[in-house]
Amino acid sequence: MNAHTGPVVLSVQGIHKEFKDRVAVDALSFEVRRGEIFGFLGPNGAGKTTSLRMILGITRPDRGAVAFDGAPGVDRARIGYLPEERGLFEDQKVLDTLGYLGELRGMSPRVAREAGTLWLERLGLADRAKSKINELSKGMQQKIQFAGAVLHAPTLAILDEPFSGLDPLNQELFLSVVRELRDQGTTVLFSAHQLNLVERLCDRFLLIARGKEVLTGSLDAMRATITGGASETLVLEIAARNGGPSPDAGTARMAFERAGVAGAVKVESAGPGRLRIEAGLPPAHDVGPALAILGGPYAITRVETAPISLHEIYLRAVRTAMGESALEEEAPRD
Amino acid sequence: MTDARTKRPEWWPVARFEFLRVVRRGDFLVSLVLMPLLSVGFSFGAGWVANRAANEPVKLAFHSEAPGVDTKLPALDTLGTITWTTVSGADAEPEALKAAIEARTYDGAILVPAGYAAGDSVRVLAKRSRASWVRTVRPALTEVARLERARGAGVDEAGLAAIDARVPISETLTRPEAKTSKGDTIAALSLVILLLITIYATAAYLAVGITGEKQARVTEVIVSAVRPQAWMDGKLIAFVCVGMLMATVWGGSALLFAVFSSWQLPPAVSPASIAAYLLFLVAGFAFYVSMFATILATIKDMQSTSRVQAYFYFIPVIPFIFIETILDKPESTLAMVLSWIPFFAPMLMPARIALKAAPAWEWIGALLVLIAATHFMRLLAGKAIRVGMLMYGKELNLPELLRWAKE
Repeated sequence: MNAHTGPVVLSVQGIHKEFKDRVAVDALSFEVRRGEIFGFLGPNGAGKTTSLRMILGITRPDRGAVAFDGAPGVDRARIGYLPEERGLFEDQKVLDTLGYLGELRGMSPRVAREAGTLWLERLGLADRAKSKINELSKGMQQKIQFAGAVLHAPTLAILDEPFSGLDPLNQELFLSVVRELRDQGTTVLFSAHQLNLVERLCDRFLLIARGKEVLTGSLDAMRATITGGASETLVLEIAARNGGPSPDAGTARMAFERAGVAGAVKVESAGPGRLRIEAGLPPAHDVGPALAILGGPYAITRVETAPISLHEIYLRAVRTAMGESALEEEAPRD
Repeated sequence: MTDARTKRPEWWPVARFEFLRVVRRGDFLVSLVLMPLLSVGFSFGAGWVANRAANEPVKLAFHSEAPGVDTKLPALDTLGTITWTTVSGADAEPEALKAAIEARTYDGAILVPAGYAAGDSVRVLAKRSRASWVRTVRPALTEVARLERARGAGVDEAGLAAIDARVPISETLTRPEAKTSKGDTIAALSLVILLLITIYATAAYLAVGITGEKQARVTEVIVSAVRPQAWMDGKLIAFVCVGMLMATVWGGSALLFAVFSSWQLPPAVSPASIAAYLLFLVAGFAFYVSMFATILATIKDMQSTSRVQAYFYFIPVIPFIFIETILDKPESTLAMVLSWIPFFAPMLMPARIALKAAPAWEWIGALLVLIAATHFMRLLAGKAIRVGMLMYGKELNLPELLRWAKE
């Protein structure tokens, strides 16, 4: 099944929430389809957690509606939730905790404990089943919380900041586990600030700021939207040859204009007699003319192309929506 | 796994988990056993101390200017362990007696003037005011004076006894069923005290059960899985069960102790009364637990909370202010009105039932009001936990809670 065209599991239509002194979520709409991993992104305070709480039925929207599998509201037993603000019963044993969380989702005590045992094995914690939660490290507790959110094989798993507090090895483990979940039929709604990881995991994204949609779609679609068609970034460094003239920004810009790159070209100094040029390129664009112009008088010391990262897309989109000053306060962790 | 989903009510796993979480705690098991042992220990200890104090010998110096008092007074059998030393001359001077008392030769001294029976003051020397032996001696002196006055009036002891004889009263009740037994009153008051002890013992676990989860940030996980109201209902049911377990163990221990310590069965109590007491015990407990849960749900952190909420903890004690009035005049308007108010009904209505002052329609009506109030309070508690969970950085106050409750 194609994740982008599967049936809609979660439909959010115009949800709006105001608190006493501010609008937290402003007429937000989106859909998540069966079998996809959907990235729900935004700076701190953008309204992500409030939106998730409305989706989960913990708070009611002032306006708008949420539908799950075509029916209004949510079926709590078929949803798994790992909140950003999280904790565990510290005085309880690991397997007892998982059993309880499974029971809350409608599983029988026996089945919940069996599922808990399987998840502990999958996450490398089988030998800690009888340990008390407060005897575990923060990373281990994070794994237990994750297992508690998904051990009932939910139709939709909502994971809010699942990577926080994890080392790189465990981040990789989580990536593979989330993919397994998706492969087993669980649709995943995912929120995180580790954009390098999110980029590798998600099929589609929704980026919000100040409670409103800023950008949505697949990574390629967002690249195309945010760059006006440029999906690759060319990084070029040029320097003066021995006894030759120092490169100047005007010449660099003119060279790229002649090569048909009229859009975003960023030129900055890379040291005495050196320039760093960054240009967004459409797919398969020929940059030979620009290199020919610049390679005559100057030495080309570095040429590098890469797809525009989610990080870059995020920064550009949020900068546009919020302005530079706001972004400095809300910069994501990468 | 989807097929294995159960059809149990949402609150069931919460109630089961919370109940087991409390009763498996070591401190709970200790308090469950320790409370009866401490109660027995305190009972015996207090009795032993009181007995020792009552049997402590008291040495008094005695001087009387009235003839016969020095022989009549010690002859009274109400003086217990008081012993007398008759003093006279220089030894009977106040200053000499003060010195002897300070030197612990005597515990006190009594100087009886010649006209004591006519109203002249008897002088007492003691180390401190309100000495217990003074309370013993005063009625004895009054009795001697009374006999002296009767003799002066030409009345002998037999005549005096005839004068003092009580008028016999034959009581006929308009409602024979209103006759109360000592057992009814003891049973009702015992259950009221049991309710009070268990509610405060349970409140400690309830505080951990509600604010502890907020502090551990578990609440949001739970209410994403079950409705906040179902979660709160599960907790309330669990803590009512915890309280009833304590009440059963402690109440049963008290009953066994009462039976075996006196080797007799407790006074008879009617089955209808027992049923009424138990209903008020359970309903009253559920009401107070719901009320405490509502208050606790508004608290973000027990360490930093304002203390306004703490005053609500005193509500179950308030009925004891009225209990004497209720016992004295159980059919008064005040008694009737107070015993219908849910905050006081669990304490006051059993007392009125014990005194046969509350007909069935009245206590059943008050019980229904109490159940309705408990239902309202549990809804408020459910609302408080949902709203309180979302209040970041500040605590939910009662006006806010009531405003949100209308949502």
